[in-house]
Amino acid sequence: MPDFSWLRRFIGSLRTRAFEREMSAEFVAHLEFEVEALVAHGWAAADARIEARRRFGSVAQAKDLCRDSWGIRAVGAVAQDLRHGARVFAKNPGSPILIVLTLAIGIGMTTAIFSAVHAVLLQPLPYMNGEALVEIQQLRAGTTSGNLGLSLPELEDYRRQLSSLDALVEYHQMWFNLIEGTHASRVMTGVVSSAFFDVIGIKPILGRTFVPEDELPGAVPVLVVSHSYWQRALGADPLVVGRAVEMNDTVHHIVGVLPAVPQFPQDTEQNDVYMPVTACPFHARAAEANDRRMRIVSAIGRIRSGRTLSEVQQELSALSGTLATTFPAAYPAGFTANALSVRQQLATRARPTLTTLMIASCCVLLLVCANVGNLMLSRLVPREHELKMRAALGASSSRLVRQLLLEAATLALAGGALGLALAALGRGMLTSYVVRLTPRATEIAIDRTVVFFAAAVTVLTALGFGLLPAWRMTRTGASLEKRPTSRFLLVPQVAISFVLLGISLQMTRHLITVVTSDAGFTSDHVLTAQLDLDWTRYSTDEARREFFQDLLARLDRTPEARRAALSLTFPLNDGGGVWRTGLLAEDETDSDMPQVDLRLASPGYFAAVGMTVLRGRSFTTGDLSDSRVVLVNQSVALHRFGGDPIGRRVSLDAGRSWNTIVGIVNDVKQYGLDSPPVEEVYLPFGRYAPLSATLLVPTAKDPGTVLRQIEDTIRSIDPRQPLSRVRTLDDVRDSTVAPVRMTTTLVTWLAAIALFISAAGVAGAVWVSVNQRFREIGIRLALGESPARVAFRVAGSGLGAVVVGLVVGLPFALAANRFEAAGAGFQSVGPGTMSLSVMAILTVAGVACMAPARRAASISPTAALRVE
Amino acid sequence: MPTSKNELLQGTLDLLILRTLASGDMHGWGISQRLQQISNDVLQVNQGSLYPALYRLEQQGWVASAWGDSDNNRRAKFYSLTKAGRKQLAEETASWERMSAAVARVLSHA
Repeated sequence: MPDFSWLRRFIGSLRTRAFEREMSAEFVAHLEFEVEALVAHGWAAADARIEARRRFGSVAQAKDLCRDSWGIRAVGAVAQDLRHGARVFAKNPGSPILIVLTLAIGIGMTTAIFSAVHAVLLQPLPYMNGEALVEIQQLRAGTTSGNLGLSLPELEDYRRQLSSLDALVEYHQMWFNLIEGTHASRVMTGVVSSAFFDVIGIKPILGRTFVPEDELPGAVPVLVVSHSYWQRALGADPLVVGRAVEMNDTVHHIVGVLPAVPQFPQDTEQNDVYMPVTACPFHARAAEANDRRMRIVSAIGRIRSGRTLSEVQQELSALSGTLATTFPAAYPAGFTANALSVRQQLATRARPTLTTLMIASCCVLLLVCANVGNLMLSRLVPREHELKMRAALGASSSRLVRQLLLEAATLALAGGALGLALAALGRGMLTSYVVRLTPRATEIAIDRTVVFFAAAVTVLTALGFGLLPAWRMTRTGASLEKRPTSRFLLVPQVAISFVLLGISLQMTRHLITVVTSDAGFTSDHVLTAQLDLDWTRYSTDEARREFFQDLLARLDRTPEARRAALSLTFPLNDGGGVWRTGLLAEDETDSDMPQVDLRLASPGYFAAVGMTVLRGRSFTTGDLSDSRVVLVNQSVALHRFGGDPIGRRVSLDAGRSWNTIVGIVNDVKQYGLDSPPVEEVYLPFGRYAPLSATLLVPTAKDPGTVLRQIEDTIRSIDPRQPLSRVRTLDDVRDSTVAPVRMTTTLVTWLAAIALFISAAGVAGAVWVSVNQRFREIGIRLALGESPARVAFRVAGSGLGAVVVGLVVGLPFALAANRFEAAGAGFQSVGPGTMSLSVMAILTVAGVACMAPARRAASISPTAALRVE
Repeated sequence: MPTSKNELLQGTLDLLILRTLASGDMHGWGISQRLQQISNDVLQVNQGSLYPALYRLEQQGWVASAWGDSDNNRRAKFYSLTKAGRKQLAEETASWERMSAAVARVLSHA
């Protein structure tokens, strides 16, 4: 028959109060019976009571044994242990708080890094066919330009002849002006084959993706919008399917909305909308579509089931070799075609950083365990007496071990929960750091796996530092007082903190230098915006020139936007194309034409960005389309002309035409606040009529109102011309600094964490030493040593280990600084910064030693001597 | 086979209690008195171990308890043998008899 005694025990254990009442009543009744019987035998009442009790034996013990039988003991014991633990904590709250914080930091950091590793490296791609996706890249050895792309005939050849792929789709990115109602905006567009989304395996959340019919000539133009664009610009409208917008002078209908998945391929800007290839103007131009050398698209393929990536690579190499011999003009020397797994692509750049971070945080976690173990043991030493007494009074050693494990488990649970919360809070910062390495960073989340990992780590650390004191307790022979302090652990901790602190200070100094550096221009209150003209409507130079002239004239009449200027780009602009050409001075004998950057500037440009004309004159409205004047910057003046080039003539087209230099302007840092200025030559804006230009407007007022006026002005010229990338120069300048700032912040956080853990370690080690040398300190105090000296001695013992750590860490810190200086261009730290580091560490360690030192000084000699 | 002295005594005590209850319901003190009487004072059951044994037997489902009035109207907890308890008693008795017969054989023949 099945034994349900366990169930009875459990239920019985729940009815504790009733049980206790009944048990007491039963024993009382028993004793009464005994007394009656004794009295009946002739005993006196009082004596009978005593005899009855004596015959029964220990009531308390009997009750305990009964409780054990009943199963109450287990539950009650745990509650009792918890209460006892709470009392212990309350008496000495500092230590458990420190333990929980240290645990939280270690567990939190490891969990956060793991969430990134999980999302980027471990999790499969969020596309259905993610594992089978490959990208075909073509490279040319000897150039650094990266993927050349494929031409349309090549794509067709690969598609037909690579049998190991069951699909090959194309992709490229263009921008277009999208007009909806009266509102025009610029959108990045992914131009894709109709099977693109099916091959990748993305299902739309609204509507549909493309079907083969969309690709047929004469098909109705359709668009699929990305999730972020749908939310940002279409108001997350659930009825957006079917909406009509105008692009490229054609009406397109929105047929679907994509889910929020990372976009692949990686490009500088995320796509807002997608269109089928037939709508792309490139395909329409037969000359380009059939030219094998026009490599303009990327290709994504899906491996046929049952085939492998290496088979694809083999086929691809063979095929491209054949094509190279058939069409030698299109295939230069050193040409290779590679098939790369998409999943690997998205992980390559991130893998080394994430792996390093994971290893580092595991090391940190080990240090945390060791530290916390130390702290737990230090808390145990003063209680050793109490625990030994309880053991003598009958508490089983398993009970004591259970209690210690329970304490450790409670601390670990608190630390783990706090750590998980910290990881969740830091997710945003982590994502923005990792997104520079891979677009999969957006998948970083605190999901079930991560929580499970945090729980596992918590359990492991609890076992790690909980078993240590528990194990010591069961070894009744060895006294805790004789245990050597693990002070040797302190040395590497302090050394690591020293190195990290040094690097952090170095980076911070660099950051400050960069942020406050003089970039050669002022960025206060200057609004910038990009104007990309629609090339179907502004296909002639004349049309474009007219637009821009008109724009400047009208803005001139607007009071707030009077000093507007036009140029191709502006200092620190990212994402602008750069024009370069060789500069030939008139009477230069050597034909070497070093490259200079070409800039266009309308007359108001230099004033708008706060540049100075050092000599000569700026452009005037008179210098328009046919004047042959240029301005050069100081670098050109110094390097090419040794000082004064005004009046000299230069050619930008290898001698075919000549321009006169009429002025010198100062250098600006075009390519980053920590990059040196380059040689630049400025031409009047009207000389070339670009398709894209930048509008700059210095504003005294709130940029919002000025922006509206600018938009109105543009609309009055051409209502279908949008303004895009509206930013202030200040914003641009800030965003250039952002990557450096982020890395500096990360390293500083790491240094702070290492410092905190070291401080906890120092505190723990000194505590243990104080508790071990309790008696010795008491004797010293009794013999007349001043408490201050005792305190200093105690603090000194802790600081001694710190100094050793600093000495050990010094060569590493110096080496790291030199390495950073060489590799990353930071200035190497001088002795000033080093001593700042050392002072910081000594101060923190000193503070950490304060509490135990104070305790040591306040030991009452009599109490110390009494403990025996 | 019981391996420690405690276990042996525990098992024996259980058997004695079950046997005592087989002849009628009684309360704890009554059981201890009865054991003492029948064994002619040889078995002085440690009263402190009686109740833990009773509680254990109740947990295992071999006895049941209920509050009632004794002869002289004192409230006491009475124990009774359950059906499962009767079966257990039979098994343990058989086992005990087998063991004691074996011991007797060894003592007389070895």
